[in-house]
Amino acid sequence: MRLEKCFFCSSTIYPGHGTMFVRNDSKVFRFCRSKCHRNFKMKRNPRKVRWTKAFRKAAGKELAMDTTFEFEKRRNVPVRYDRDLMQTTLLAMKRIREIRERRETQFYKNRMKAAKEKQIKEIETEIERNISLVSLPAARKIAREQAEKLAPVKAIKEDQDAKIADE
Amino acid sequence: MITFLTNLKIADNTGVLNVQCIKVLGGHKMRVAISGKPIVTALKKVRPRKKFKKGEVAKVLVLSTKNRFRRNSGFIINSNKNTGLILNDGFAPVANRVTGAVPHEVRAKYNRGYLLTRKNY
Repeated sequence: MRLEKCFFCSSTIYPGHGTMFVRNDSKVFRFCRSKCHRNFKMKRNPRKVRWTKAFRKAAGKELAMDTTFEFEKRRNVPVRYDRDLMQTTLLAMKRIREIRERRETQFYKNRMKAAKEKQIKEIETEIERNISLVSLPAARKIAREQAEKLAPVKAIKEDQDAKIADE
Repeated sequence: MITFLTNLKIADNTGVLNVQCIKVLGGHKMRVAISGKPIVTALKKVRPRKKFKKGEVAKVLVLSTKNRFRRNSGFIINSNKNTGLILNDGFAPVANRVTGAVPHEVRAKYNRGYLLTRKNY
């Protein structure tokens, strides 16, 4: 049993699923479902379609370079069946999965850290701009202080206006 | 799905380029040929000064088809061209070289040295 990867979305293709397209130069394209096959026929680039693994990795949204991915590579070296080797492999698979999941969550957290800072900053600027709409004691105080600061300027302007009117 | 009047391209070095199916072989009332099945064709486009001439009739083995077929492993396979290979009256390949991809089912059936190309799927 061999689990293949979808050419378009890079998901795993289990036996009995998906289609295979053979181009005339004998390059084989495997697709996990008709959605991926349709997108391929539309000549879309998987790196530019947002829901594919290729896009997410290229855009830095997912863990792209990691040693745990090395284990998933296809090897063309036949291995004779060995019971001990099989057991250790199965154990190793579990362990590798654990490690990769941990690294992925860490990657996600790091990515979200910067996003959160940005979010807080945006909220702060919005409050600063529209402080007059907020009617809280503290906000009212700030507004009053601003008005006091501007009061002398206002008085001078009024004087000037009065002078012009007299003349 | 190769039926009566389907056009095919020939993927060998006999000099024949295009053929048209005029009969599907392999039994009474056989309507459709899939890859690995023989058909009878009329030669439509042929390179000059070669073994075959335009308008002649020849047997052809279907290699790859646009219509999909299902393998026992569950995979559904299709290709972007209907291609074939010229056979003689004894159902043996005439050419000594095949270009393009060949499904391994066909390769197993007509096991000649040149059909064992790396370009099989």
